[in-house]
Amino acid sequence: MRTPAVEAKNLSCSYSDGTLALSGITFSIAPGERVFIIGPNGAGKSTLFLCLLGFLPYTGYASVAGFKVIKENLKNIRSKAGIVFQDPDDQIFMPSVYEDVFFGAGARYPEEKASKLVEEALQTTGLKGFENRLAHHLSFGEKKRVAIAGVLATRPEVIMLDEPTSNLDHRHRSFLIETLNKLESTLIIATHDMNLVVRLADRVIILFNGQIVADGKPEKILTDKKLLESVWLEPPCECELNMLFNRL
Amino acid sequence: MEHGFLDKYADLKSPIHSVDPRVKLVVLLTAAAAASFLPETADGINILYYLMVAAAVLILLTRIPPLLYFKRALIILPPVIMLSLVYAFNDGFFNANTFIFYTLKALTCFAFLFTMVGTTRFEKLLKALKFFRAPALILSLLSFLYRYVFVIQDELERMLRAKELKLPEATRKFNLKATFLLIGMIFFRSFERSERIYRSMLARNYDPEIAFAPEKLKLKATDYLFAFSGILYLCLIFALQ
Repeated sequence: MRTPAVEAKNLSCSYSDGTLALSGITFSIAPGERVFIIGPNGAGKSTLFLCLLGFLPYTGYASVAGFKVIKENLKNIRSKAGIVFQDPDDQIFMPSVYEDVFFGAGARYPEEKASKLVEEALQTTGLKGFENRLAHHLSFGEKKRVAIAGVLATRPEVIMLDEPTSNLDHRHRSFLIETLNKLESTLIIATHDMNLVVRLADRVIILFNGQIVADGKPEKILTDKKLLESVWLEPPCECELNMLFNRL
Repeated sequence: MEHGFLDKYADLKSPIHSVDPRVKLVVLLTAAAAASFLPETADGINILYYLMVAAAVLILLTRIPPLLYFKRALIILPPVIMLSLVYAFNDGFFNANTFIFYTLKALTCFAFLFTMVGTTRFEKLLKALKFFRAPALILSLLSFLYRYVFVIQDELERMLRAKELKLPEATRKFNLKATFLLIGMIFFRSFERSERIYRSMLARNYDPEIAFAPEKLKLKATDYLFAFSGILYLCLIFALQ
């Protein structure tokens, strides 16, 4: 049996003020799978990512890329898994586009290979020609693409994206979907953007009040209007569902 | 929002812009250091005169609007004037010559640094510093400062705009109170953001030693010319006095 790309068994997490953010989360994600974690604001989606990358203490079991999420393995986990945070300004910490995209790749690979990977990542994200642009001169959509390019250049086995389409206009959104569609890594995407889900999802997990309330194929979950409304999610419209069935 | 306080004109095309950042760093820092250590003697005044001419020529060659130099100089002027006054009153009475000498000395130093920073993109300057083995931690701090000062500026601008909209007819006292509150909020938000950035740095296994992409720096004939003429000029004006 193949090692799961990401696994969680009975994972629970509380904030320092005692609020239970995640409770009894159990799932297993196979390599190459595109899993969407959907849920309303405050459902625990971002918290789950932070737990999986070892930023928040948790109880239960969690593993990423075959490594159990414990302090000793964090360096390995963070080399194998990349995360794109919701606000790109938190993520792009180098002054120029090239510097930032190069950063992760340069830490992992020899200079020549890193430069090649950076070129490829810039090409994939449509940032060719942006190399010398300064981060504070970019639009939000461009910054988001730089953040994604920075992760892609490291060739991670698992990519986690937190609300990747938030605040993006139609053009940047479409481009992002195209970019994500080209990737072969395991994708875990937290969102409540149904249009994105119908276009890319292999599997959907609904998180509500820190618990998994549904886990299955998108055609099953996204057509269950009652379920979606009960967890404060807007069911996809007919055209979006058509898009999903055409894709499948 | 567009920002460009430090290196707004760094992408212009000029003979100074095209010089390798490492060469600029050495020549212009040497010139600034030479100006700053000049004694207030007849020779010192003469050398300062030649350095001022060199600084003016350099600024003109950069094609950066000279007015910008004076605008930026206004920022350093208050402490410069304070210090010059201290020197000017050294003997118990006001010595105008001393005051002018120290003020001009500081402005000349600033002119060389302005030429260096104004004509070089900040990350290139950091790379030049890295080439000269500047500590990685200092470089990282400078890099973060440059990256996030604009983010904080944006945040403050947005908050001030929101304040204006919410308090269009507030009294001056209330306005002042609200502004101080916003400044406090900026600190609080900056703290929160720094936590998120730190997380993101950890997620990418941040290491200050390998933070900057290597660049194949190769000196051109014009770099050698700039270095040679710059150092020769400095040597000559000191030797001739």
